[in-house]
Amino acid sequence: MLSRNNVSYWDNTKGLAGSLFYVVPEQAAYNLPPTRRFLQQTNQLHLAQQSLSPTAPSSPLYPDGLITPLWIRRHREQIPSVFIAVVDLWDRESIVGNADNGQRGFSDKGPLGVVDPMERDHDTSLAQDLLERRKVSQERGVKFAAVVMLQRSHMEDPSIEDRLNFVRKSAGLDIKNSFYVLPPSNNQEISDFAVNLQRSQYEGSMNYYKEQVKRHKKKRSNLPSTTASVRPGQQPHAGGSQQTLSVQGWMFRYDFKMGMFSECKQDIDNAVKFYESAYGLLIDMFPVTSTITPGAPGLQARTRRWAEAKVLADCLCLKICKFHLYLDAPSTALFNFRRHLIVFKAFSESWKMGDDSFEYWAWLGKQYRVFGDLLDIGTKAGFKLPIPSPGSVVYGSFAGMTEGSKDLNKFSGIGVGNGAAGFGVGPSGDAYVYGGSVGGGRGGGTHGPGAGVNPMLVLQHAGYFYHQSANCSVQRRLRFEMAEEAYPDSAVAPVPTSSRPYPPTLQSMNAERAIDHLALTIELLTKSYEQFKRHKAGRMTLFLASEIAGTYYTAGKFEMALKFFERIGKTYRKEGWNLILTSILKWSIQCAKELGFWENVVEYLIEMMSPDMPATEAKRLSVFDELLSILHTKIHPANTSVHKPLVLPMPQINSFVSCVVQFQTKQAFVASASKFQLQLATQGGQGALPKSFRLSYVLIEFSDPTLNHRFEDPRPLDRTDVQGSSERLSMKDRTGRTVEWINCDRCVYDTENKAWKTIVGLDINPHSTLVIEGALTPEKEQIIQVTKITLGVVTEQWNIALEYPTIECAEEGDQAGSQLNYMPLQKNPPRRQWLEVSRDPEDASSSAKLKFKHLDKGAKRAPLLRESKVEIQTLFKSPAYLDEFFPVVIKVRNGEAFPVAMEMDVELQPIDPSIESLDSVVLDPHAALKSLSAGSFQAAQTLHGIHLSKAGRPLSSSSVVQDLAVGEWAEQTIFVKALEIPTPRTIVCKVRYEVSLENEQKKSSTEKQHAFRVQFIPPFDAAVDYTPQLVHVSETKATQESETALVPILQSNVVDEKYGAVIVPALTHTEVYLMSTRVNNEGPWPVQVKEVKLIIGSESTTLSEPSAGGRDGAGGLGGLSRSHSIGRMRDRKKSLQEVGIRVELLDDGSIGLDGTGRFFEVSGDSESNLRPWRSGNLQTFNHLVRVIAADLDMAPEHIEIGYLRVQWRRFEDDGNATAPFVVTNIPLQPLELPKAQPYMTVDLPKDALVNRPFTARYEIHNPTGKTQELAMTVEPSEGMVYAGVMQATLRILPFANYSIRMNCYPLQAGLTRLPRVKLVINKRKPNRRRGQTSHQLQHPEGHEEVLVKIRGLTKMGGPQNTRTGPGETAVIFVKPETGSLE
Amino acid sequence: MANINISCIAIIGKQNNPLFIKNFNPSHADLKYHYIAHTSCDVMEERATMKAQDMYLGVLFSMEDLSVYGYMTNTKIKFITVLTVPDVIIKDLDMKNIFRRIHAAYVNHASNPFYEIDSEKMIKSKKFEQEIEAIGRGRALEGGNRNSLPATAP
Repeated sequence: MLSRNNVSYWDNTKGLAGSLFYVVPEQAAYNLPPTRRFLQQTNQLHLAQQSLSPTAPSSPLYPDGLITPLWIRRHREQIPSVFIAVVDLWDRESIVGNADNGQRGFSDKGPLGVVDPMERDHDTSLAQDLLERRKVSQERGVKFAAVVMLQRSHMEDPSIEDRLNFVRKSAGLDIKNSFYVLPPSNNQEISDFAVNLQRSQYEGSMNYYKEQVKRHKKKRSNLPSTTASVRPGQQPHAGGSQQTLSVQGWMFRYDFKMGMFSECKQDIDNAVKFYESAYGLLIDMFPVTSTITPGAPGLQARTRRWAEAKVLADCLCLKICKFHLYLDAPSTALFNFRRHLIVFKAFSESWKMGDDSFEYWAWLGKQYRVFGDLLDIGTKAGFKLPIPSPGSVVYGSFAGMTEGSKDLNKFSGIGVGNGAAGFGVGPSGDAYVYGGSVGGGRGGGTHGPGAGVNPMLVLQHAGYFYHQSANCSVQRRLRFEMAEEAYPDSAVAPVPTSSRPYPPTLQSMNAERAIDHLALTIELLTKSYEQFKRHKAGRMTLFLASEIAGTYYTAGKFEMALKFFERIGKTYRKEGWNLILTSILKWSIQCAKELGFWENVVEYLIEMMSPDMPATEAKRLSVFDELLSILHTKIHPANTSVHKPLVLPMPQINSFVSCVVQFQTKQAFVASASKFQLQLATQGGQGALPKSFRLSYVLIEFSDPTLNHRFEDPRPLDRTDVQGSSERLSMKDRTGRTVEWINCDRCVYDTENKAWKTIVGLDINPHSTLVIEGALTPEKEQIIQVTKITLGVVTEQWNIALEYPTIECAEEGDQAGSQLNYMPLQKNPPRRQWLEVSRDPEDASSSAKLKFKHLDKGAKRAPLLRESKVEIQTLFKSPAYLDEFFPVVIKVRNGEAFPVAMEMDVELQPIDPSIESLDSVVLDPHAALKSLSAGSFQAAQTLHGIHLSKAGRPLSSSSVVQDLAVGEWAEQTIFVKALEIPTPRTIVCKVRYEVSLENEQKKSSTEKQHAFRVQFIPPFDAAVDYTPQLVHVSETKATQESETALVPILQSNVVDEKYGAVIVPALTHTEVYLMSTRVNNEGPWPVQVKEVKLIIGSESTTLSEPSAGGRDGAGGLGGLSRSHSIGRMRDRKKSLQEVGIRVELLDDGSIGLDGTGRFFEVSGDSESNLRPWRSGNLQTFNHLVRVIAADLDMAPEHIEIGYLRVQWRRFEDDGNATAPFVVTNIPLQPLELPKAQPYMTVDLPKDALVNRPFTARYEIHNPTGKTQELAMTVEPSEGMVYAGVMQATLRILPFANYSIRMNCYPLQAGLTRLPRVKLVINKRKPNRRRGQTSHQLQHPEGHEEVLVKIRGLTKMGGPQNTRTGPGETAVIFVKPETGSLE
Repeated sequence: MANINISCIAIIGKQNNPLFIKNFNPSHADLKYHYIAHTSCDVMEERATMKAQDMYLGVLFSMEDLSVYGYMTNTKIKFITVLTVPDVIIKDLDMKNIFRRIHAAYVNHASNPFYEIDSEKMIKSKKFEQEIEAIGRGRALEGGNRNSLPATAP
């Protein structure tokens, strides 16, 4: 039961669910303190417990005390609201040593009425005892209850019921809620019993406190009015010890007690009300005169009662705040707290303990701290701090406002008085009108549009209050120190002086002396720090840390302070809060000086020199002077010993000088000097650096340590003469900045420092840029980077190095940036600049001009290569033709100083690396052609290791390497053969050679590349027209040739041996076409054509492969557009064969035009005599081909006829062409084969005459294997009259023809249309479903209209397109009647 | 508006670096406001994650007699206004107006093509300073919301 007593200070639980009772266990002998009335009745007043009433002379409150904590303790620990007696029922077995133990006198034989007298005796006394206790309790209004604990033996005793009844009745206890029996049971049962017991007693408890509240309310109302009677007797005794407690005091007592009882009742609302009322009454006692009891004097300052009242007010205020927090009204709580502070501030001033006294600050600090504790406990116990977000309805808006005004009304409405005036402080004039300012602001409810919040009433977490408290502690210390200064003697009481009329008392001074203010401050700050840390306010903790550090500094713990400063400085530096950083640095310098950490001092001073640190000019100068004096003065306290070398990584601190190094060019070459510049620029504008700062040395470290450069200035500080022999130039730029240029490219290698060294003046002048130009000559190939720049200051005691590691700009593939924590401003590398010195070449004495030139963005590194002094030229006639061996002359000149043997690689770069290239590079085209025709040719895109030799010398294939003399040209012709794709090709030639440097044993290989592009275009362009030849052509041909002209049906089946197929002549379909091919020389170069040949697709395999070996130049692979056409053709040919289509060349190109004759004017072997075919020349070749289709139905739409094979070479005007003839295959457009469907042909007379009828014969063919049903309609024509059938239905058997004769009568002359014959194929579809009647309606006959086309028509427009589209009509030229002479 | 007594206006960049801090209240040192501005970064970031829709973040915290109000733009530029408050209600609308004016001034400044927005350097601009000065002293400047300002400058 007692476990529930662990009530913490924060206990915001209400009602039954929470801890029900505060249980105070007492001994069995405990009796309630007797009431006063009882004592009076029995004349035993002297026995009374110490009375706490101010009326009793023995009371500590006598005569005018308000209330004492004793009273609270009494009600908390002594006077219960429910008194529960736990008693044992007497048991026979408890009589030890009784021989009769276990034997009852009368045993349990008598079931009724027989009672063991011994038991009865005990029971009676027990009942008596309980009765008395009950009576005492009743007098106090305390509920009494008894718990009787039974022993195990009782359980079997049947008389137990009677015994219990007897006891209960005798004690006058109610069976309900007053008398409990606890049988022996286990722990769980006991605790359950305890909970139930508390539950059942809860109401009684509530009643008790309700009664108490009621009683005190009655008492309070019985008090005389405060305003009515100011008891006259009090005035003369004002301040006297005999003064009794005023009515107001009594009112306070009752209010307080009511509040206390309400709190016990767990009625927080009312408790707050009573406490607030009490608080109001109490506060009113502090002013000089009370407002509630007009004229009554207030408490005298610094008296005992005054001090008590002050503490009481503080406690009361805290209690009120706590209850408001319980009620989840944080703003109200804070309001009360702040009001308390404000009110007492005013009081303190009137007590002459204002904010210049340490007492006030001590008190204020305590208030903040306690409030912070309250919040801390509260938040730990689950109290949620409000979030003051704008616009939130709950808080800070209208709701919050009404809450505020409500609680004020509550406050002012409980009789504190006229709320508008509030509390006056008295006649002294410094009246603090509380109600006016706070109440008016809040209660007035001036909430206009939108919400508002009083920021002072936003409850924040405890950290703020601790911090506030710490601030108070600081103030307190300051005040105290002042006071101690005035009154240093701890034995003599401070005497008022004119300047300090109200000194603190000796007692308080001595008490204050015992306090370690700084420790207190640090403790508070640390507490605050932890709070903020818990609330994740990292930057706030930094602030607090700086305060802690400051306190440590004040406390003289410099080391701690320095540690703190160093830690927090980082963040401020990183985020650029330079003002704060400056302050921290200043503090740190102080600390370091105190500690004698001079290295740190120097470091901080150097950072303080940065112009980013805001400071006045005088301050800057003093920093600078201090630094110089530390560094250079021997007698300075800092310089008692030689300091360790101090290395400062400059990117991590703010720097006063920026440092950049770069090379002039991105690339450098071995053994040749490459320039670099070091720019040291002062940061900030004019006045950032007060005086010149002299460096002792500048060390530039490269990735190759043998190239390190060190510039030194060995002058002592006082000498200013120009140092070193280096050339110096200086000028002012537009902004007034001095730019100084020093040429230091003549350095001497200093073995001691292992660096190239020169002596030069290294003064960094205010507002200037110092540019040191140097040059390095690397000796081996490498990538050189600047790794570090060190600015050094060396004096007798000091060796300071300011290090600037060069920052890698994040370039692709570079190693990631270093782990150093760089300053934010240096993240972006500055633009690279190069200070260029331009001199007037004629006048060397005139001052040179200095100008910054921007360099390209790039790394501060120089990849070093040996410079190749080889020249490469290429000669070729662009564009090149595809398929030819295109000659490219590469000329290489040896520009080196000594003869070298050179090798050349040539590489033809593929157009698309993902596709295997067919292009090739060869040295000897004839040989290549031979191997090509032999089939052993390998297309190579690279040529390796061509030994270059002097131009004009014959190409030596021997491996003897010949040196190319200095300045000589080597020449080499390569031949590039590109196939198929007309795009530019990139050709790269690399010239390699080895040179031996004088100081190296190893020869270093050097390479030079040259890349060029050659455009390749196709040499010829071909367009083909296919003209179908009518049957008679084939017939005539056929009759001439063989018996194939016989009626096909009569022919026997022929086994075609070539294709291994059986041809059924009756079913084959033969068509003959005239191929008219126009070949155009597209390119700008004349060519010589040796032969043009049509290679029929079906022959290609048979022709090319066997002939490849035999015939020169006609190799099948030689210019074939392999993947493009051959491959396709093979596929096609195969399929053609499958579908039974054969293509035969009936007649060669000599038809019509004797094309071949024109090229072979002088027939014979002399190829060079071939007439050049100039650019743009067009030549037409005609071929007659026959297409035999075994089954037209299966024939594809397009038939590849074949390609034109052209054997040609480039024609050189000088006639000595060396290039061999190459073969180009020109793919031809495919032949569009007519579809296997009925068609018409028209047979017309050559011309007609007006008014002379003629006959047109339409032939309708059915090449399909099906019977065709055709619907014929004849549409009339304007220029012709036709008499005959206008509509008919025809049926044509498979492979049959049907002819229609039309007699026409022309009416007009000119090209005239014949009446159009429209034939529509009726394709009967299988019957559709009957359900789809609507669909059938649209196609009632269910046929698909297919127009029958007319083939071989001459169109109106001209002869271009002989094939006619649907709906075309035949035309005929009609001559006028008179035109006929016949 | 009359009860708003601006002590300091601070502008903080997105790397929590100070861009502009102007002190209007000589009773505290600049350093104090630097500290306050710096410490408010955390509070603002915490606030901004809680509610992202509004740039005005309300009162961030109060310290001694100073109340700190925050406003964060969408580009994470933070504006801070420190008020010296008597115990009165500060209307959000008034504060919003102040912040809007600061925002407008900042936008004007940032629109200058010569101003490097990400330079992390303190803003040095006479015009901008004048505008902030006007806001801080409660004066109307062109473009300001005159309606929310008192007729006579305090």
